[in-house]
Amino acid sequence: MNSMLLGRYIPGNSPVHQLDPRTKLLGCFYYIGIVFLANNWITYALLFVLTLGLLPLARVRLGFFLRGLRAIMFLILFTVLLQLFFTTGGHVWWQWGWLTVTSKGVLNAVYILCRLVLIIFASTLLTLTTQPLGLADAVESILKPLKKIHVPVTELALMLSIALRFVPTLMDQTTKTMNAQRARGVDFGSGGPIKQLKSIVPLFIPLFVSAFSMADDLATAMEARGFRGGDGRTRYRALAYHRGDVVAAILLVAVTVVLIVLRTH
Amino acid sequence: MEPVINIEDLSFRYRDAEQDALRHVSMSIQPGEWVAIIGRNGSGKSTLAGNIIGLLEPERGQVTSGHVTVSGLPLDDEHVWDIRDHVGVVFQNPDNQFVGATVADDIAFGMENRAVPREEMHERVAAALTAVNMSDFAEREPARLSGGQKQRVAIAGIVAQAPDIIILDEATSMLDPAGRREVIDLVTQLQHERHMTVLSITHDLSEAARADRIIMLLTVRWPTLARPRRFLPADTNWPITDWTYRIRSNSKRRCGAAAFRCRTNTLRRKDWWITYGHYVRPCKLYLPAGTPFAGAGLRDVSTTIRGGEYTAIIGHTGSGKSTLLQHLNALLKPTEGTVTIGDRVITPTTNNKHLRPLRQQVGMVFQFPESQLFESTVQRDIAFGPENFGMGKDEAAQLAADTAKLVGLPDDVLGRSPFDLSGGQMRRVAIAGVLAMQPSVLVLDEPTAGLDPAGRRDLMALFAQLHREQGLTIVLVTHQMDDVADFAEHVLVMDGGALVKEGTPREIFADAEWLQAHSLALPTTTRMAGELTERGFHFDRVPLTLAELADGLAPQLGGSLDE
Repeated sequence: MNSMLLGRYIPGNSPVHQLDPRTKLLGCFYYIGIVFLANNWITYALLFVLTLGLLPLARVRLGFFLRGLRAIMFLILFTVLLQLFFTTGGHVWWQWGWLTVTSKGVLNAVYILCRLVLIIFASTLLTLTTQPLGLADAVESILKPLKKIHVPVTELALMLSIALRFVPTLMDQTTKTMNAQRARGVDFGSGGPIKQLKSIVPLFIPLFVSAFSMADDLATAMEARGFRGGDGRTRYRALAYHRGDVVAAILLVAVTVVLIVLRTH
Repeated sequence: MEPVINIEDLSFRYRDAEQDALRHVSMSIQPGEWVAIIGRNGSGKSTLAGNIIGLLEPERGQVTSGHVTVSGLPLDDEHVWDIRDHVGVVFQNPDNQFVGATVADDIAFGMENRAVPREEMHERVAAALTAVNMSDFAEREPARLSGGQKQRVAIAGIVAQAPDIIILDEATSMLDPAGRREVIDLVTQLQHERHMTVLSITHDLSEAARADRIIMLLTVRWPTLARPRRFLPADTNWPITDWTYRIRSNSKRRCGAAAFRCRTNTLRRKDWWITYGHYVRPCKLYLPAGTPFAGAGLRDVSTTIRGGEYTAIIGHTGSGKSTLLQHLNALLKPTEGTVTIGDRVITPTTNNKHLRPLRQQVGMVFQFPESQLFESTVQRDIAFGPENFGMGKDEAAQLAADTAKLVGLPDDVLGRSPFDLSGGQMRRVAIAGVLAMQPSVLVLDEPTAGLDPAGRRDLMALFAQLHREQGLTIVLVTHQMDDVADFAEHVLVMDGGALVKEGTPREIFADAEWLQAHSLALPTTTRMAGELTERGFHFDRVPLTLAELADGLAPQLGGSLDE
């Protein structure tokens, strides 16, 4: 449970929490974009200072981010090793068959590591400080123009927020089902791959069945409460930009300019 | 006065069904009235509720006769949405009707659908929160609420809509006694303050007794109308154990009649103190409270469950009952201390492997066990456990068939998909799946939750029979004090993760005030005896079962014991 940090909201009312979810969502994407502008030590250092500077501002402990990193450790390691062994160019330091470690390879590997860490930090910050519901609202608001070409944006956003709302319920159900099947002699996570794959069946079928019955119940309850589709509804929550959002936008633009100036051309 | 709900000669048939689910039902409900609808599972109660607000679409089935009027509006395609403005429904499962990501969002959902302006919505949400006394919870997510609180949120969503009628569709059946009280007290208060009409569909007869009128739906028969006081369930297969007695007069005769009826309707507890091996030896648990994320932990629990004994574990929700339970087959391991099960000793450092023989010995039936079913046929699902423990396919299939018979499933279900069965039968299949592992200890976590009273009684009788005839050690976790009084030999009371009291049911139920202080109730019989004592009866010792109550009353009423 605890490793599922991506998507785990930590309540608070720091300046970062109070930003409009649209600002945070777009800002996060934008930030991931400008990470790719960095291509030397100074620019990466600047981005690290900025990102780490946001942590105290958001009042979130570093530990949460590190645990988030651990969850996708293998992906990072794989990418870094790929860069390390398969980049050519620069001074050759070590060679074995078709594997080479060059000075450029080491540099690229370090850069890609920094990039991944920065991207993960930014997206973790987004999910730790933004309620899932806020994100769903932000998506709806950002995608609103697509309504013109008959994309059912409201329904999609509602689906998204209901899906998010049911995550803990389904997690709970998963734990219960696992316990029930373990009590019937299933060993999850032991034996060969075939055996492990087989042990998934008694877990997934009950989960699907209960997910469908949940969906059925929910649909009935929604209809009983007068839900007739996405059009003609009002919204309880309103999104509004405040001063903090303007500050955040200016900050991001400023960082972009500085990055462009400092990067190696 | 114009009735607020009027049903005339309504019949309804589900698609592909051979019989009508409702047959010629007529009733009319006055404004401000509280009406309870009771009846066995499958008698059409929920179908009736669905019909009142038109929730059953033509593809699910159709009305074959009669018509429904709600708040003066005829139920048809044209008026169905207007009718839904007048009626709020609280459904059974608190989780599956919670639409919003937070309490406030959920309350606003109905208003959003009706395009209420935002400012007005905020006012009405705040007012509804105050009405259900949950103003501090506005921003909470559903995962951080108790079942009772979730149902109160559902009611707040209805209150915000200010309908005339509130329908409780088994709204309390998945709640613990405290949650039930919360919900029923709230509805009572709303009915008085806002003159709402309440239609409650329920299995809980003490809840039904709150009603001004009870309507009983019999399976495909005419509904019977009765006032609660005169309502006698004897001829309808409803155990009176669950009947909330109401003593309205001092007439000894009337009390006596009720008591004798009890007696003919209940199983007598025989002398079945058979000790059979010592599979669960002195079982010691010393467990410190868990980390904040770990939920209910246990502290310094030490107890012994003897082989062949029927033990009940009671305590309110969050007292650590379920945590304790999961230590009995090493699904959880103690963080400190040891658990001894048979000759296996589980310590904090015990390896997770090689626990299978233990899991085979201690069969565990979790709450709503039907949610563990997954196989294509009933027989294969029951055989799943034995096969995991190394039994051959043919042998396991034979065992599955035998076990199905043991739990009272008809022969023809063996080849059918478990998902085609009724809820009560699915539960029996799941229980058979655990029994087929041939455990020596059977651990039951609220095994009868959500069943109707007759189904509950049958299942409890089955466990008693297994205990008596096969010497199974039984550990039962329950909120039903009547079951504890009727069946248990040994009771453990949990509170705040600690074992606060243990003893025989008689010892535990002797102190009503102490129980109340730990949010626990007395069995119905003991409560009834208390009230009879106030009216001049005398009992040499506090009766626990209905049979004991009847035996205690008979001489005082001048009757004989053999009647």
